[in-house]
Amino acid sequence: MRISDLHIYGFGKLENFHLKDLKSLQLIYGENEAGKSTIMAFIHAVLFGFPTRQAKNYEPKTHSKYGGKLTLETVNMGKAVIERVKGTSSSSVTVRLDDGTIGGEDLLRRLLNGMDENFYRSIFSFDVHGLQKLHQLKEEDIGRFLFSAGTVGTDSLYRLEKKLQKEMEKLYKPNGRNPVINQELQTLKELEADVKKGKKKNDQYLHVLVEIENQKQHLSKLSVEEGKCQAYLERLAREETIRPLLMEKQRLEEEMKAIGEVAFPVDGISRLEKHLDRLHHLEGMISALQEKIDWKEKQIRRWQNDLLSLEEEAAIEASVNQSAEYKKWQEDWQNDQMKISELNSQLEELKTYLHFEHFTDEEIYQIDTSMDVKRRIKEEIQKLIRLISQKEHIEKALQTNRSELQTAEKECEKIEELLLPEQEFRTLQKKAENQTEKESLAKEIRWLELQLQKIETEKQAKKRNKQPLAAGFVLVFSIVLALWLVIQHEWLLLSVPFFGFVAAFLLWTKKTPDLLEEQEKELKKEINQRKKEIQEMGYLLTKEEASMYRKQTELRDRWKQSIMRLEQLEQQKSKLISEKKEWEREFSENLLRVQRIQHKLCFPKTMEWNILDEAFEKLLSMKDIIRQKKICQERMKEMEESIQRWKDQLHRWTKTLGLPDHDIEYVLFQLKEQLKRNKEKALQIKETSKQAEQYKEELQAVIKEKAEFEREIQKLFASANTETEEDFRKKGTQWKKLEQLKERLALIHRQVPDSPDLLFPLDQPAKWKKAKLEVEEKLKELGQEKKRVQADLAKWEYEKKVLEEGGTYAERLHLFHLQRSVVNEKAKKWAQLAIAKHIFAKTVKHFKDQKLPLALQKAEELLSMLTNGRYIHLYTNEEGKFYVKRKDGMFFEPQELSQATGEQVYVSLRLALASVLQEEYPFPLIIDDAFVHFDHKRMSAVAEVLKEVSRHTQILIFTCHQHVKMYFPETSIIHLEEPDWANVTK
Amino acid sequence: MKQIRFIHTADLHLDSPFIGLEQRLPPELFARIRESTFRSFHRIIDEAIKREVDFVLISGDLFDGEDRSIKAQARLQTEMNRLKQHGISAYILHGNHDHLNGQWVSLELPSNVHVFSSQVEAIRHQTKAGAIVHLYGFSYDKRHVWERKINEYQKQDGADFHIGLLHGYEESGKSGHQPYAPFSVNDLLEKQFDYWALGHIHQTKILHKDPYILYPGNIQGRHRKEIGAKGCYLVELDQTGTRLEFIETADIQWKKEVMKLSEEESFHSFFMRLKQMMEDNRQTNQGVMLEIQLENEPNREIRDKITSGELLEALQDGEDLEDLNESFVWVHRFIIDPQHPLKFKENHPFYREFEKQTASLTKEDWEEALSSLYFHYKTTRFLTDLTEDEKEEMLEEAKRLIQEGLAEEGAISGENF
Repeated sequence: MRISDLHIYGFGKLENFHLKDLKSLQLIYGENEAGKSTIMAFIHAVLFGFPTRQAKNYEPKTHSKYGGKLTLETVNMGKAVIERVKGTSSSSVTVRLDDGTIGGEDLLRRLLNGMDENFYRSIFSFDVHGLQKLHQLKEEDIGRFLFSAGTVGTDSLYRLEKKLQKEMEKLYKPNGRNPVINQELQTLKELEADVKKGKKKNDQYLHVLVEIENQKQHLSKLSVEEGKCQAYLERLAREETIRPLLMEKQRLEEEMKAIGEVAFPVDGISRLEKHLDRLHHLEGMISALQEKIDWKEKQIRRWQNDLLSLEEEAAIEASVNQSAEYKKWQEDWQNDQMKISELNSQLEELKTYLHFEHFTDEEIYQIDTSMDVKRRIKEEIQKLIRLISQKEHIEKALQTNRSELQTAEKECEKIEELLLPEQEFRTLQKKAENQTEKESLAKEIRWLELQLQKIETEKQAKKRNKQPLAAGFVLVFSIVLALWLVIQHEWLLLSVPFFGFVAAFLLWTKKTPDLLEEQEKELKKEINQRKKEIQEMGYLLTKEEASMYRKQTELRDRWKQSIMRLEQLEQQKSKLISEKKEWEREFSENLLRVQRIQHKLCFPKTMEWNILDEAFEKLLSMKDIIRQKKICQERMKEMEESIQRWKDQLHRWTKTLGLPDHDIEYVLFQLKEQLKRNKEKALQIKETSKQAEQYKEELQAVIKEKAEFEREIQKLFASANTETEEDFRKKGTQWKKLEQLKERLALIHRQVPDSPDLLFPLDQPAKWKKAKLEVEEKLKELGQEKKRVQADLAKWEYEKKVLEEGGTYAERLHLFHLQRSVVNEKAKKWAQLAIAKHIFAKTVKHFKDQKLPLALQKAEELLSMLTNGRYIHLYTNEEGKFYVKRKDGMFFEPQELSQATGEQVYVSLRLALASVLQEEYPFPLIIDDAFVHFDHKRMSAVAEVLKEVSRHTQILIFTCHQHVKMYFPETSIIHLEEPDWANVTK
Repeated sequence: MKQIRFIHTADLHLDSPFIGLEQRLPPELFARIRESTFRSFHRIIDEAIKREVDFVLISGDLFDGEDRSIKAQARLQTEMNRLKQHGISAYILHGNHDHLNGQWVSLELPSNVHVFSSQVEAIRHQTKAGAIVHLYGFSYDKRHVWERKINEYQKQDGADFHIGLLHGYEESGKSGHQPYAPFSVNDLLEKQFDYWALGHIHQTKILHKDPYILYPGNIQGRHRKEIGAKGCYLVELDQTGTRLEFIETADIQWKKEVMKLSEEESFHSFFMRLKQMMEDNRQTNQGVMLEIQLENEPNREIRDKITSGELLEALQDGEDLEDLNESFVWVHRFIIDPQHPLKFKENHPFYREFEKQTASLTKEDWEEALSSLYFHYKTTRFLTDLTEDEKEEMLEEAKRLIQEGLAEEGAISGENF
C-alpha cells in the first residue's frame, strides 16, 4: 500500500497543507521547523489515532479543524481515503473506499491488517537514533529485534522453550528416578506386582474350597467313629443296671402264680362305695319330699274353709260395683232438682207476663194450643194487617184522583182560549197542501231534465263514431275492385264493389238512431206539462202562514187529548168509592173472629190483637216448661228408689258377713276388702296345690332311682361271684394285691426287654469291666484327633474369609487403580507442557525455515550492495547468535564490526525485514534523516539500496540536508517552504 | 386391585475402584471408598426389605470386569440371602462388563435369584398377593453385543403385568457410551410392556413416561464426572398407573462447585469462604468428594499457593475420616479455569503463526509430542489415551501458556530502535 495523497486541515503548525502524488521513493526536503516531524506525526495520527494531549499536543492554535486525511492505494481494496478529525471532545475516523463502502475504525483496522502503532514504528519507521544505538547493539538485541519482528527464535524464545523443558523434566524424565511421575510410576509398578501376587492368591480360592471340603469330610468320619464307641459304652452301662432287675422279675412271677386267678370287676370296691353313697342320699331325699307334701296339703285344707262360695262372691261383687252407679244416681237427682227450680222461675216469669198468676200448672197445661189454633191465629192476623194496608192504599188513590181531575180541567180551558176559529183554519190548510204538491212537481221536473241530458250525451257519442278513414279505405278498395272486375269482364261481381260504395257512404254519414230522438221528444213534453201545472197553482203559503198552520194543528190535537183524559178520571173516582165500602165490611168481620180465639186461649179481653201470636208463643213455652218439670220430677223419684234399694242390699251383706255396720261408705270399703282377701286366698290355694303335685312327682322319680341302684349293687356282687358285701370286699383286697404285682412286673419289663441280649453272662462281671476300659481309651484318642482336624479346618476357613473379604487382592487392586489414576492425572499435566513445547518448536522451526532465510537472504543482498560486496553473508545459529561473513571468509559477530559496518548491517536487516513482511503488512517505510553520518560513498550505496527496496515498498524520506538531495532524482523530491505558504505542489 | 412393588437398579459395578483422582488418599478414606459400592448396595437391599417389595430387578453390570472379585460375589451372595429370608425374589441379568463368558470362580446364588440366560427369556412370577408378572430379559454372553436384541422380546399373555429388562444403548443418546444392544424408544413401546427396566447408562434418565422407560443410573459415582445423587428406583405398578420414587443410597457423592475471587480479596478471606463452601456441601451420613473450580485469575500469592498444593492440603486437613458413619467433605481437586483469559495481542506474527500451527496439528504431532511418556514401552500400559475433549482443552491451555511465557519475557511489545 502506498500513500498517494496527504491533506492536513490543521495539525501542529500546519494548516490546510496538501501533498499530492507521492511517489514510491519520495524525498521530502525542508529546513528545520519546516514541519517534517509534524508530517510524520500526522501520518501516524491518521492511521493509528491522535496522540494524547499529555504526549504531544498537535491541536492547532487557530480555529482550524484538527485532523486531516490520507489517500492510500491498497493492493486489494483499491483507493482508500482515511479522514480523521477531532471535535471538542471526541475524534472520529472515516474510511471511504473506491467501491463506495464507508467505514470507521473497524474498516481501518482491516485495512491495516491489525497493525498497531508500536509495531509499525518498530518495523517501518526509523531514524538516526536507531542507527546510533547500533554500537550498543548486542546480539540479543539484534535477535530480539528480529524476534519481535517475528523471524527467528532467540534467547527469549529459547528461554521459554527451556523453561517448558525444565517443567517437563521436573515431572518426568524417561529414565529418571526423581521426577514426580517417575516416582509415581515406580509406586504403580510395585502395586501392579502386588496385584499380580494377590491375583495368584485369588486363584487359589478354589484350592482352599477343596481343602475345606476334605477336612470337613475327615471330621465327619471321626465323628461317626466317636459315635460308635459312645454307643458301645452305653450298652455296657445299661447291662450293669439291668441285672438286679432281672432277679426281681423272677421273684415276682413266682408270687403271682401263688395267688392265681381272681375274678373281680375293675374298681369293684370303689363302685360299691359309690352306689351305697347314692342310696343313702336318695333315701334322705324321699323322706324330705314326703314331709313337704304333707305340710302343703295341710295348708290347703285350712284355707279352703275360709273361702266364700262362688255365688256369694259374685253377688257381693255386683253390689259393690254398683257404687259407681250410686254416685251417678245422686248426681242426677241433684241435677234434676236444680233444673226444676230453674224451670219454676221461668214459669213464674211467663205467668206474670200473661197475667196467668192464679192459674195452676195443670190448668195451663190443658189449654188447647194445637197446630190448628196456631195456624188460625196466624191467618187472621195476617188478614188484618193486609186490610189495614189496603185501606191506606184506597185513601191515597182517592186523593190522587181528585187532584188530577182538577189539573186536567184547568188545561182544557187554557187550550180553548188559544184556538183559532174553524174557518180560518181551513184556508190555511188548503194552502199548505198546494205547497207540497208544488215541491213534488219540481222534483219530477228535475228528474226528467237529467234524463234528457243523458240522451244528449248519447247522441254526441254516437255522432263521434263516424269513421271517415274507414270509409275512405273501403271506397278506394271498392273502386279498385270495380275497375279490376271491369277489366276482367266480370259484370256479375260488380255488386260487391257496389255494396262497398254503399258501406262507405254510410260510414261517412252515420246518423243517430231515431229512437233516441223520440225519447228526447217525449221527455221534453213531460217537462213542459209539469211546468204548466206549477204555474196554475194558486197562491202559496207564506212563511208566517206556514208556521201558524203548523201551530194550530198541534193545538187541536192537544185539546182533543185533554177532553179524553177528563172523562177517564171521572170513571176512576166512582170505582174507588165503592172499593172503600167493601173494605169496611170485611174488616169488622175479621176483628170479631180474632176476639173469639183470644177468649178460647184464656187471654184477657183487653189484649191487643196484634200481639196475639207473641202471646201464643209464650203460652206454648209455658206448657213446655211444665212438661219438663213433670219429667224431672218423675226421674227424681226413680233415683231415690234405686239408691234405697242398693243401700238395703249392702246392709244385708254386712250382716251376713258379720262385719261392723256403719255408714254406707264404710260398709262399701269393708266389702271391698273382703272380696280382695277372698281372691288372694283362692290364688294361694291354687299355687300350693301345684307345688304339692310337683313334689309328688319328684318322689316317684326318686323311688324309682333307688330301686335301680339296689339292683346295680346286686349285679356287682354277682360279677364277683359273691352275694354278701363282706365276701365282696374280701375278694377285692385279693385282687388288688394281684394287680400290684402285675404293675411291678410291667415296670421291670419296661426297663428290661423280654429276652435281653447280654454281652456277657450275668455271672461274669470281670469281662465286662475290661471291655469298658478298652473302649474308653479309644474314645479319648478319637477326641484328640478331632480337635486337630478342627483347628486345621478353622485355618482354612479363615483363609477363605480373607479372600472373600478381599483383604489382600481387592485392596491392592483398588490401590492400584487409584495410583494409576494419580499417574494419569499427572501425566496429563506433563502432556500439556509437551504439546505446548511441541507446537512452540514447530512454530519456531517454521520461522526458521521460512521467514528467517528469506529475511537473511534479502539482508545479505542489501548488505552486499551497501558494502559493495565486502560483506556477503549473514548467518544465524539455533541459539540466535549472529554472524557476518566477509568476502574473504572471515566470520564476525556484530560487536566485532566497526560502527559503520554495523550500521550498514542494521540498515540492511531493517530494510530486508520490511520487505519480507510486505506480504502481510504492505506498509510504507518512513525514514527520518537516518543517514546523516554517511559519507559520499556510503550515501550513494544507500540510495541505490533504497531505490531497490522502493520497487515494492514505498519509502518516504524526510531530510534537512542538502547533500542528501543529490542522490535522488528531482522528480522524487518535495520541497517544504517556509511556514506561511498556501498550496505547494510539484 | 392388583398392585406390585419392586426395586429397579442397575450398573452396580461392585468393588470397582475410584478413578480420576490426582493424589493418594489417606488410608481411612481409601478404605471407605473401597467399601462404597457395597454400602450403597446394602442400603438398596435394606430398602427392599423395609418396603416389603415383591422382587428386585438388577439390569446388568453387577461387577466391574470379567474377573469378578470374590469379595463382590460373596457380598452379592450375602445380600441375596437376606432377600431370601424375607421372601423377596431377585431377577438379574448380566451386561457388557460382567458378561457370561468371563473367567471367574462362581459362588452359588440362593434359590430366590434368577439370572437370565443369553437368549431372551420370559419368566413368570407370582406375588404374595396373587398378581402374576412376566419378566423378559437376556444376559450378555460376550463383551460386545451389537445385535438389536430388542427384536427378540415377545409379549406372552397370561399375566397382569409385563416388565422388560434390557442392558443396552438408546439410539438417540450421546456418544459417551458404547452402542451395545441398541434400541429406540419406539421399539420398546411397540412391545406394550408396563415397565422397562434399563441399564448401561450411568446417569439417571427417564426416556418415557406411562409406560415408564428409564435408566436408574449407577448406584455409586466412581469418578469426578459422575456427580449428583445416585441410588435406585422404587416402583409401584397397578391398573391406574405407575408411581416412582428415587431412593438415594450412595455412600459417597461427587460434587463440583464454582468459586469467584473478588477484587483485592485476601488469602485469608478466600480461605474462609472455601471452608464455608465445604460446610455447605456436607451431607448427613454421606461422604462428599468435592471439586472446586476458580473462575477468575487469582493474584500471584494465591496462585502460588494453589499450584504448590498448599491450599488443597489445608482444605483437606481436619476432616475426620475415622468413623465410617461420619459424613466428610474431601476436596480432591482445585483448578483455575478463568472464563476470561488474557487478552493477548493477536497480531503478533509469532503468536499468529503459533495459532496456525495449533490449528493444523495432526495425530502424528501428538504421538511425537507424547511419545517419551505415553508410548514408552515401560509406561504405555498404565496410561489411558487422551480424549478429544481433553486434547482441545490442552491446546487452549497451550496457547495461554505461550502467551504468558511471551509476556513474561517482555517480548510482546516491540521497542523503537
